[in-house]
Amino acid sequence: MGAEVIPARVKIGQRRRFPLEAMQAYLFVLPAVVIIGIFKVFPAIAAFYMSLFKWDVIQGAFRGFGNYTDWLYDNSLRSPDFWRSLSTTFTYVILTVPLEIAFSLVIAYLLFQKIRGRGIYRTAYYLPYVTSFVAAAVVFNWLFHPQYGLVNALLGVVGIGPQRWLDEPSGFFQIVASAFGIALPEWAAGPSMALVVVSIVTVWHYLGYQVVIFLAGLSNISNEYYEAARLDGASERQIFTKITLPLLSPTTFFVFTIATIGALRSFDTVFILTGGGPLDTTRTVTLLIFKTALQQAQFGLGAALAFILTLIILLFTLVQFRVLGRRVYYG
Amino acid sequence: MRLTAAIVTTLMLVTAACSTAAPAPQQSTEADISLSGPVSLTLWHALSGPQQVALDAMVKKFNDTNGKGITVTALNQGNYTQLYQKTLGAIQAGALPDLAHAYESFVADYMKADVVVDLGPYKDSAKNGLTKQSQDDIYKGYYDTNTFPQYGNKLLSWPFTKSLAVMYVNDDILKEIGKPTPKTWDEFEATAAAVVKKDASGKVIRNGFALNTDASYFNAQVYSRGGSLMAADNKTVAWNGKEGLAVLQMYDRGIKGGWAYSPAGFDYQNDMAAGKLAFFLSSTSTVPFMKDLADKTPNFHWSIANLPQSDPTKAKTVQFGANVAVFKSTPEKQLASWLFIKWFTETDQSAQFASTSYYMPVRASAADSQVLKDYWAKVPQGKQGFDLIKVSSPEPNVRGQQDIRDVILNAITSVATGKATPDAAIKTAGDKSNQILASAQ
Repeated sequence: MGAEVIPARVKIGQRRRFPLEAMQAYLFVLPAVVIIGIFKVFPAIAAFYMSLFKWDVIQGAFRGFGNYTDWLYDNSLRSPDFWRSLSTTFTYVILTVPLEIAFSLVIAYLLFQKIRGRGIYRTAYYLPYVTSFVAAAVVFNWLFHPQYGLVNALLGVVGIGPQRWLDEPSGFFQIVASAFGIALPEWAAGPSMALVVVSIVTVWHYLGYQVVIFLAGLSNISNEYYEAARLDGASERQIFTKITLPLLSPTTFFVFTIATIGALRSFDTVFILTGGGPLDTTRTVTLLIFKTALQQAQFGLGAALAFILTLIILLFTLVQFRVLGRRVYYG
Repeated sequence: MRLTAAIVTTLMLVTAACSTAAPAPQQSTEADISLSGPVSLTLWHALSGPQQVALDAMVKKFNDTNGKGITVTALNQGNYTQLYQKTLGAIQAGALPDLAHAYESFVADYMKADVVVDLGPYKDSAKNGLTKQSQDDIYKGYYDTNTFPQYGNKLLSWPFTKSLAVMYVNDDILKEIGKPTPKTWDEFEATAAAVVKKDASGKVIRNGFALNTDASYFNAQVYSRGGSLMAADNKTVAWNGKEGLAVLQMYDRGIKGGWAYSPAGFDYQNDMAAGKLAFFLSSTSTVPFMKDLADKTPNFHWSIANLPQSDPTKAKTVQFGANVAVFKSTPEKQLASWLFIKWFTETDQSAQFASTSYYMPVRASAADSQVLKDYWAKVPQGKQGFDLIKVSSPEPNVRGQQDIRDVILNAITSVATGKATPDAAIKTAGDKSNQILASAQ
């Protein structure tokens, strides 16, 4: 009898405690769920709903995936804009992400050494990231001003003629080649000078953030590896390539993934510096979404393009995990 | 039976014919009601700085003196693009203000949601409208731009902050080279080329013309060369003909000839004040900025004139600037909104606002106002602009016009940067604009 009662009490006790614990847990996560629900999930669902309709200022006829196919191949006005913007976006990713990773890794490695004034240097490199980009853009606009800019003044000192920088739609390789008297065909012209300048400014802005991530990764590598390597007579170069880089690979992978997603979604840097010009050579997909939805009032088409971009980002991330994730060394 | 039907049909046709020939007395509409109590209105606008101060002063005066219990609250919503975006959001949310500052293309978009009040009945209302004389006192071009053929020729907005495209001239440079302000485009090119000065290294230190890539100045030049912006049916553009081509060809010659350049931002204003530039095209709303520069720059003399013309006897330029639209709400609020904008554009107020905001008055009779005469004595360029209102014509108010402006900008940029020939640029731009118009219907 008693043997039957005790388990029963335990069961009753468990039943009573579980909902209470669960309630507490739910209460803790409730604010986050509500905020994410209102500001992330609901707008995403609403945007998807919108993307299925002709939503020209107001809701119109149901189009199914017609807005999506318009962007991909079906509309002679929209489709070329999309593919060109996608190409610009990929170019922007290629120009910014490797440079961000390379520079931030080198800078983080140097800042990790025991050097005098390390704290000041770390703060200095982080400053661009916390600086308002709008304020920074004013400075960069002046630096790259075609007539009165400092960069052109410096180039003038070494005998190079003034450039239009952010106003220049011509290809970067084309401009460099023409300085040597070589004429490149249009397909080899490369990204516009304006996009190259935007990319340089982007790298400058985000470098500090990546440096901090790499510094955190470097501090996670046990000193014992370095001591053992030095005892075995390894050079600094060998230590960096054989110990630091492999053990830093999870951090590198993280930075690569975050930077790629960030570049694919980038809006403010490009919008503030060029607004997508000159001649649409810096118009990324996010700027095209902005233009379509908020300047042309074509909310359905804009929402569809936003979902296409989301799918592209998901695909990119998936490929990164599949291809590079396996090469990451987790120790 | 057939005879009865024939008689009835005949009577109906005769009645219909008679009603066309002699209209019945106008029926009372919502525009003829009276306000029964206090009304609060919200006006969204895009004015900032001294122009916002000028508007706020006018609004305060109206609130203090209207005697009907109408209270207007004017709220800045950022720049014009932000104002447009917020209004679109307000349409989705069903939370529109009572009035909003708006360009014609904005109004055309808002009408997709059928939220804009037709002001025609209010203007013509015997009780609350304007007399025939008062209506005729407002420039015809201002009615034209606010009348929308695609929406049954309804008057969907009202002139509010109007300006026009003009040519700014550095009088000192012209005096130095002994040339008058050019009246034709041929004279203009010759003068702009004669202005150029180079330093010992061959670098241009004084330029003839700062070419503005904004579509409005392209449109103004098309007008000045005798062209039209839209086909008669408003379904295709018309600027892609010989007049538009001539504009791009002149830009091409200017860049290649070294007498024109494409400035960054508003640099051309400083360049002119610094004696480095002879001509630029801009809005009359640039007057306060140039006046400010002139006040700070000793011995700098400038003026404004109409753009050079192909035929100066048929002079024309672009009229622009924004209007105000009233959104559908309650009959009382709609009437109160109309009463506010009617008051705002009466002679005294029009002159007062023009003298403090530097926008153009909307009425011819404003020129007789002492306020405006005093202002013009201090800022003669204001009068120079005013005298051109009668030769100004609006830009298209069709849906898609905002996109077409970007297409024109790209055409100019592609010529200015040597990426396309004028012929190729005008063809590409015209084709793309017609596609935009077709898809915006």
